[in-house]
Amino acid sequence: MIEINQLNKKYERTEVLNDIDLSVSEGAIYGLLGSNGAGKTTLLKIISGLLKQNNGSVKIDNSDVFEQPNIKEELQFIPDTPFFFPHYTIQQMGDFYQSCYSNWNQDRFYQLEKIFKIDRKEKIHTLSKGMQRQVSFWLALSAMPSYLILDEPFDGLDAVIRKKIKQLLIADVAERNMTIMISSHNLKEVEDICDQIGIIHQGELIIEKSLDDLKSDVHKIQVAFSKEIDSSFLDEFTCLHKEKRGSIHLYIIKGQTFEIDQYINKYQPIVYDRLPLTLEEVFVYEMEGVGYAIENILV
Amino acid sequence: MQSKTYWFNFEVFKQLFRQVGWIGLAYTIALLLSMVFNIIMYLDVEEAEHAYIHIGSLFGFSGAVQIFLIMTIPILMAIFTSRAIHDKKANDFIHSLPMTRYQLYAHRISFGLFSLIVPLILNGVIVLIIYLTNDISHLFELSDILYWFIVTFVLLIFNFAIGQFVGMLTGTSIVQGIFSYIFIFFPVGFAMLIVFNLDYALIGLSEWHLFDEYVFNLSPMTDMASVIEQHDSYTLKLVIYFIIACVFIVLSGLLYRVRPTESANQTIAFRGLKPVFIYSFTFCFTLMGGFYFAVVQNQNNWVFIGYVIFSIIGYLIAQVVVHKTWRVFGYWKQYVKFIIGFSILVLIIVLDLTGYQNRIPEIEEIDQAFTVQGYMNHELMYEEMEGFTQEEELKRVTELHENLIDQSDRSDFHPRMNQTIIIHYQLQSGREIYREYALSTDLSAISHFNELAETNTYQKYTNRVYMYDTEDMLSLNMSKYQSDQQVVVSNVNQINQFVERYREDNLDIGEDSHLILTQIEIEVVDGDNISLKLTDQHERTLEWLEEEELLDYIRITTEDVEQIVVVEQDMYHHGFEVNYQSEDDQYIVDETDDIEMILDSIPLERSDQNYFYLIYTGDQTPIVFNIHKSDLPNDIQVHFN
Repeated sequence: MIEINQLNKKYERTEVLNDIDLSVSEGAIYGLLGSNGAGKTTLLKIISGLLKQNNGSVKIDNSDVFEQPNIKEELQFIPDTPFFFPHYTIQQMGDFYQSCYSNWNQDRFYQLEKIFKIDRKEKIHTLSKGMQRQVSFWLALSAMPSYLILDEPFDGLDAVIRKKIKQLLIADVAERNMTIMISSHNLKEVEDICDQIGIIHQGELIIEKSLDDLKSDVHKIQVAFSKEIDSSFLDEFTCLHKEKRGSIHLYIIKGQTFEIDQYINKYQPIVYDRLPLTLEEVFVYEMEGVGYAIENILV
Repeated sequence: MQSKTYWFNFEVFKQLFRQVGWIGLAYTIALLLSMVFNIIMYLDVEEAEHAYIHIGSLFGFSGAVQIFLIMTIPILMAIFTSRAIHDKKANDFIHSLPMTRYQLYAHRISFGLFSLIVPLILNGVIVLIIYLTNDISHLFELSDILYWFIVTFVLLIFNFAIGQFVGMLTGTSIVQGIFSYIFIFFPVGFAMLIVFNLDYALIGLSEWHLFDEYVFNLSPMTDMASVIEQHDSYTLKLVIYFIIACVFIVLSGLLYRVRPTESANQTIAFRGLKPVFIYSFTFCFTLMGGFYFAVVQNQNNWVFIGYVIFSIIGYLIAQVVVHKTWRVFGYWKQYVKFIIGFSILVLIIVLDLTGYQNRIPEIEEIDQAFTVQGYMNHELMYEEMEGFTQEEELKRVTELHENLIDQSDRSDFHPRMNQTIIIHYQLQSGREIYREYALSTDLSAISHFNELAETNTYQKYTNRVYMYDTEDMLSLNMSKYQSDQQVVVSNVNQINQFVERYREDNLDIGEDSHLILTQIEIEVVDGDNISLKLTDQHERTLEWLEEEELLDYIRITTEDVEQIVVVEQDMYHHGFEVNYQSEDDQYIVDETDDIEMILDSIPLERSDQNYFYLIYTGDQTPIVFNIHKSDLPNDIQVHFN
């Protein structure tokens, strides 16, 4: 369980994170979204015990992280550009990890070699960028962490590898109840694995939702009526967006499915469609409600 | 939860070795090639020559290289072991590991020390083997190896500790390198600047005295020579260096804990240090400006212009360094604060609120006092001898001091160009007061000084013949003036008799004494020589020389002289040629009586000379004496009229 309370972080005098409250339950995959410079990386580095916050608390399993080796042993952080010691081979890097992390699983290290299909005797710096990123997953997963913190992990990976890695991650979550936090500026990249999403903008967490809640709550409906309807239509529900295309009315509303169905059927529409929303659409409309234009926040 | 990993992590050590092991290796090889090979070269030297090549210290073998290595290797080591906190990616990685900062720091420090000490041990062992298998006790002793080891080790870890400390304060390796050296040199450099600048403000401050006494001991860079040469206080110094090194290592560890991780790549790691850096950098630069303009222009207003110009330059540089950008022209607030603070400081000093400039101790307070002309004269001569202690004499010293205070002016602040008078009091309280005044020739203070200079006390503490015990005098080497045919007296009794007479005679020499053309040197134990002037007023000494039948061998007599040519000053150039324009330009003396008269009348004190005696003794080159016209014999004076 990761719990963050009233977290503040300043670089010099610039405020980077402002009163962040956030919690990630065990076994969850949490997607942290936000544009460049929103504070995602800073937040992840604080969670990983790399940076120290100015105010507030970060607790993993009820323990502070900064300067706490016991907790840090359970945690792996993969930065947006992975780091390896100069001229190290994968094997040497593995030896180093083994000496630092007592949960290190040598068998898994060998197994993963087969999956990634990279020779562990290779010097890491001779590998391509994408391969280096795979190596960082390889090492991190072999350390058998309970918490995996990933900063823009899929940048520069091809679709096949991306899928492979996602599978590995999901398997670890399923088998070992591993908790993952992933940051990304790309919603589509993470929507298929995350079960919780937080959006961070200018240092503030402006929205935090479980994906199921989001998807079941928000609906896009298209209706057409034979006669004019009065303006109080759909007032019982929170309407995020409405628009009229000819005789067709388009609404994005929040509410339980059966209640909406019941309500609309009372008006005997000629056309009535209730469409599923993509995650991106959900956010676009949710954010409009909060007063942000999503295009400015997410790519 | 119990920690499952060990506190010491060998893999971290291994990684450090892969990254910075080359420095230790390079150091080992460099020491081997310089010092050890140099020792081996000496093994071939024939036994007969042994007496001439006692070196007595391992620093005698390629010492310059060794010192260079001591100054560079540990700083390099500090820079490269600190890469982990300066390189952004490495910094993130290292601090995501399940290790505390203390652990990481301890690994880095112990690895650094380990790879500094191993080259020393390896080379020390090789030298030891050479020592044990060869008879080289004429080169150095067993204890010299230990001494070399300890001194080198202490200086290495001192520099390493400074490097580490600076590495904690900054976030980039280049700045770490530069600032490490600044830091090592800082105490000296800063103190020098302060003293130079104070010298212009406070009349009477003796800058060289302060340098010698205090400033040069402040940093290993300038103090190294005295440590390496095994001066008396070296054990204490080594202990101090060692303690300072330990303090800096511990301090760096404490700083590391509070050091923001995100400061990698920033010039200054701690926000609170930025103003400290900006102000102190500007201050140093301002002082440098004052110093520069004072030396170049030598005028008060230029010193102030120097302050202003250099403070602006220094301030801008500091801002550029801190903000890592050239666009710093918007930051003026701190400069205004600085210049106000600096002006107040200057005012306090110039107005001399502490009364430094006018401080003359009461006669009752003074234990003894010295005064001497020129800084260079002070060192060898007095302090070991007794100074002025009589009330009458002390009164004269304080009068001289008062005179100097009254007559000296701030524009004389550049004593390097002028002669100076030094006054030194030792007070009964144990305090010392030390003043130096520039001396312009028109000062009436000079006559005060001359009065003091005629006293026996002054004679005794300024002439080295009084300083040494006769037991320490090895021989008297005497010869005719400018001749290499020496008479050497090494009989202890004879030396005693001579020196005793000379000392007594010397106190009574008046201004009207005449030089005797001889050269007398006393060789003393520490390899030094004291040369003596003999005049016709050294009556008892001359008597003794005559009794011993030495005098005629050591003075130039009429028999030695072929002729003496007298010329006007501008007729004689470069000591070799006389421009005989006409008979009128010169006067030749070749009568024995006349020659004798001239030989007996060369005055001891010579001032405002405008004529030359060229004394030809058979050599091509004459002995040259310059002389004032009024001192010439009458008929010669008439000739030149």
